[in-house]
Amino acid sequence: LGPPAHASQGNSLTRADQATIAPLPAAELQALVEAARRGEHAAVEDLVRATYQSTYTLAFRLTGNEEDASDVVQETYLRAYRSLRRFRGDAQFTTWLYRITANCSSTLLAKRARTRTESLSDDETVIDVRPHADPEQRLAGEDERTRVAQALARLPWRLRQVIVLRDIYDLPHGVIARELGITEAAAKVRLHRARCRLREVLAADEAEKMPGARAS
Amino acid sequence: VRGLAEIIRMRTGDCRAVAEVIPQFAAGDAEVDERAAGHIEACLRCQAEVAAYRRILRHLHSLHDEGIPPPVGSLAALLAALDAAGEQRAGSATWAIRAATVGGITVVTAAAGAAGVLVWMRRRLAETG
Repeated sequence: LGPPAHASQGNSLTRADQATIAPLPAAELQALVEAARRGEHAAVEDLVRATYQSTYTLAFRLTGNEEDASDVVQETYLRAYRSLRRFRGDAQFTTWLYRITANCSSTLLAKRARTRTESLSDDETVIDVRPHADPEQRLAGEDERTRVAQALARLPWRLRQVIVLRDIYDLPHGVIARELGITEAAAKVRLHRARCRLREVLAADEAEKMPGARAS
Repeated sequence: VRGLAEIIRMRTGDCRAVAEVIPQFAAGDAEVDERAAGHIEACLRCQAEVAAYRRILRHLHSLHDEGIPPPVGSLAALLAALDAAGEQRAGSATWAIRAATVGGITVVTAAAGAAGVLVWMRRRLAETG
């Protein structure tokens, strides 16, 4: 998933937002976590500011749209805030947040899929209607990394989730399985299918780009 | 020296079988058996497929460092929501402290009253006895 349309405008954040969203070195982050666990509200706020963009990025990559990503992020931080005292610190705080984000996103997307009259199966693809996904624009010299991100965005959400969590965020199979509510074996099978599908989508894109592909 | 028939078989039939393990092999997730590894070593088509998967995985991994800017005002909204959650929590904590205090006072008062009654009854018994 590439940045949303607003990101390409390079002006989506206010100056105040840009000044307040900043990642921190691990040691400082750890100190903030400790202070937040002791109940210091200012530390909670600083912790949110330090991790906000990375959490939003993950949520956007998992959900594929701004509105759902914002909902997931809000739920993630509320849940993290409520259970901060239970955070044992045996994992990195960001990894712990990623796990909550994955869980919240899975819950939201599953709920959406259930309420939709036509639910999406893993065999269907989502058409990316954002302007920069237009094939004509793609032909205009976008690099392979961008095409990979766009192909990922077009995968069905169940397949996209496992690729994002494993191949982008490097979470272990067991953790992915737990947060998505499936068995580890199922997570591995899903990941295999997802990688194959992504490869197919990219190969189809390549074929489309070949000279004469449109004529045939 | 491999015979022509074996080479043809390795490049056609085995490609289909090996294709199943290529994504995991490229990602380093799984060991492939000797036969499949031998096939990949000899088959340019499968080697190209492994290389293609590795390129995809490399690009995916690099997306980790690419941040997506959140919508304007969303951080402020989140901080407000957390503030509200904090106040609610503090409110319920205060209520719990008040309840415990009132409960404690009630228990102490009741105990003192009971002790007073006991003392009074003892005195009465002593007076009448």
